Amino acid sequence: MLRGRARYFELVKVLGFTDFKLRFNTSILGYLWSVLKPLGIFFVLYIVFGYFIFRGADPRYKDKLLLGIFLWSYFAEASTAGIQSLLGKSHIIGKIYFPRSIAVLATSLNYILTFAINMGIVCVFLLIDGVGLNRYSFLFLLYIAELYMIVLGLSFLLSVAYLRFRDIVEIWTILITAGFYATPIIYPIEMVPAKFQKYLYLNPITFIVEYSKRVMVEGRILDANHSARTFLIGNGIIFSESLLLLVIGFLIFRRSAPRAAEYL
Amino acid sequence: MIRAHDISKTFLIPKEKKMTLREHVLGYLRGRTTGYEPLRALRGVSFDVHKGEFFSIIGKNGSGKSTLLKIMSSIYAPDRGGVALGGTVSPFLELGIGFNPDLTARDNVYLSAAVLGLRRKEIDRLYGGIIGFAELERFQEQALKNFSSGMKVRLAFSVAFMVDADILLIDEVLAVGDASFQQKCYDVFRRLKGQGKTIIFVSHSMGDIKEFSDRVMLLHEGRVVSLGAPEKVIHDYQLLTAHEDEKRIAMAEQARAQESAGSRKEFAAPGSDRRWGSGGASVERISFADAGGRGTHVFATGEEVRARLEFRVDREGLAPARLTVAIHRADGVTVMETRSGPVTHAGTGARAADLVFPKIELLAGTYYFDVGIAPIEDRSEPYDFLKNCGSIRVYQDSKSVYRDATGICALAHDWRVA
Repeated sequence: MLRGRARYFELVKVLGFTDFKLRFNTSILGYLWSVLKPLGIFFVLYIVFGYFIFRGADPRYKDKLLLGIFLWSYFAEASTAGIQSLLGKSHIIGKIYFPRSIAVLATSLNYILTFAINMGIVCVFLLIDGVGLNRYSFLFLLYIAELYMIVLGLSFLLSVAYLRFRDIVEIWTILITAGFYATPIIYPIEMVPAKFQKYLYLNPITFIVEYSKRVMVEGRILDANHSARTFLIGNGIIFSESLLLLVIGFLIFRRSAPRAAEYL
Repeated sequence: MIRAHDISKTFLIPKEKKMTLREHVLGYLRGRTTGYEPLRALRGVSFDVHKGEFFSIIGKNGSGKSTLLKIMSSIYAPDRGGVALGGTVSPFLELGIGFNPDLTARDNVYLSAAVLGLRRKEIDRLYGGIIGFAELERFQEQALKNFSSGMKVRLAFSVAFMVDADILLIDEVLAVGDASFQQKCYDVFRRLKGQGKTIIFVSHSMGDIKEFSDRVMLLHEGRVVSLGAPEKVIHDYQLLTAHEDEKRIAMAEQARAQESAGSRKEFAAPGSDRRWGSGGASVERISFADAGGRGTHVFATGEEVRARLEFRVDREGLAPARLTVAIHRADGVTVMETRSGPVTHAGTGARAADLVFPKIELLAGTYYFDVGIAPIEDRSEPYDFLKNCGSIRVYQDSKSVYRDATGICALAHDWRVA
């Protein structure tokens, strides 16, 4: 019998992979759905915005849109699933003890796994479209890690709250929809009047999407209104925001999790 | 091995169940603070269990048994006190923890075993044995949703008993499966006991408790009211439930009497599936009393039971009729059916007859009485028949010769061992 950490690591793995399997086993198209959904959104938005509205404004608009949509849809799906991760495992949580964080970690593992595969596909699309890797591309891994920290932090924070307030998911769905438009995904951030831009940057996902576009598509991080100093500060902000969210989320989770079984 | 000290747990049950943020916000805006109703599930429970002991916990529903098991397996945190466990614990609060209907039997075994704390390599090693014990070799790759409930239970059980922990917490799991599988489970119990595992067992089945337990603890309203040898504690439990039962039946009786103060048709309307007949005479009620004539529904094996049957003859010149009484168990097994002599010779009006059992030869259980009035000659249809017209509850006195007997009938017997 396994004890301590080894056992719990095993459990995260098994639960995560099982969820992954179940998500795709039950529908005929299986895994394809998790690519087709954001791809479908991409085509619709590309026709509307790339063709009708911003036509010819930016030759790389298509690639930026694709990248932004996949980043956002990971964030939206993983955070929504994260909120429900405790309640979704109620049949186990109410019957046996294990650190409750395992349920949250397993769900996040499941979604980051899908995201990794999806990103591979996005990279292929980018390559086909003539966007290769550049010397800044490695920074993208950092942004994914930060996005994962944000998702995990939110999952910790909201999954325990969700046990008591069952309408959090509905509220979150609305926030996700609003967030999609508050993040420079379908429009370039330069389109936003300068005095509003700083408000947009209050949203950490804005940094991640904006900088991901720079390092993955444009291959340059500096321009007229983005000095090296601004770039470093920006990175510092995303990193500290993500870390702070994760720590606060985990601390609150750790405080309320022992009573989780009572609210199921 | 296990030392539980002063465990207390109170649940706060909100007076008004608010499950959403919207309800909380609205409640706050309206200035209503509804508050909580405390439910004291456990009130200072202390006990010790020795290594290798088979320790059973009994008590009525809501007595705190399950809460105690959940605290022992760390699912709930106690408000006060705690448990010190001297070994690894495997809880079986439910069979098939983690089972998912969409996965195959094989995947479910791996998933459930991982939840119970097994490593992949260990599961690989044990897998053949698990599937073999469940007798499901042919169905390994089938989705669980296509399994019968019996198959699911067998699979779940097999997984559960492969786990090698020092302490096993078992909650009411033997109430499932068919007889031959139950037998297998009993064998596992004996094996585990033989291996010196410490077992905490919660069940309502007094037969199982008696067979396996070294000691039994009786919980009532969150307190330990009796702890010790199985016979003694089971007897205390029977007294407790008999007492409660008497109160409950009396209350129901009272309510019924008030309700039917106007009309005397208190049981069931004619023509319902509990009552039928051609009319002309009707059964009114059955009531029970002990040897001293005191009304009660609870009797010890061997006590005198007096059943009073009240009935009415409504039509003149009715073909001669007699009363019929059938006694049966909740599962439908008929213990006895008996018919009286003619009862309608005295003309129309309310009548009564007594059916006396000088020494009721039944073992512990609840017994139901069907009462009918039917023509003696024509057997095709009764005048009136009432199913489950009344019931009695029998318990076994700890001082009687039948104290260890199980089954339905208290047959007169004695043991002659050379």
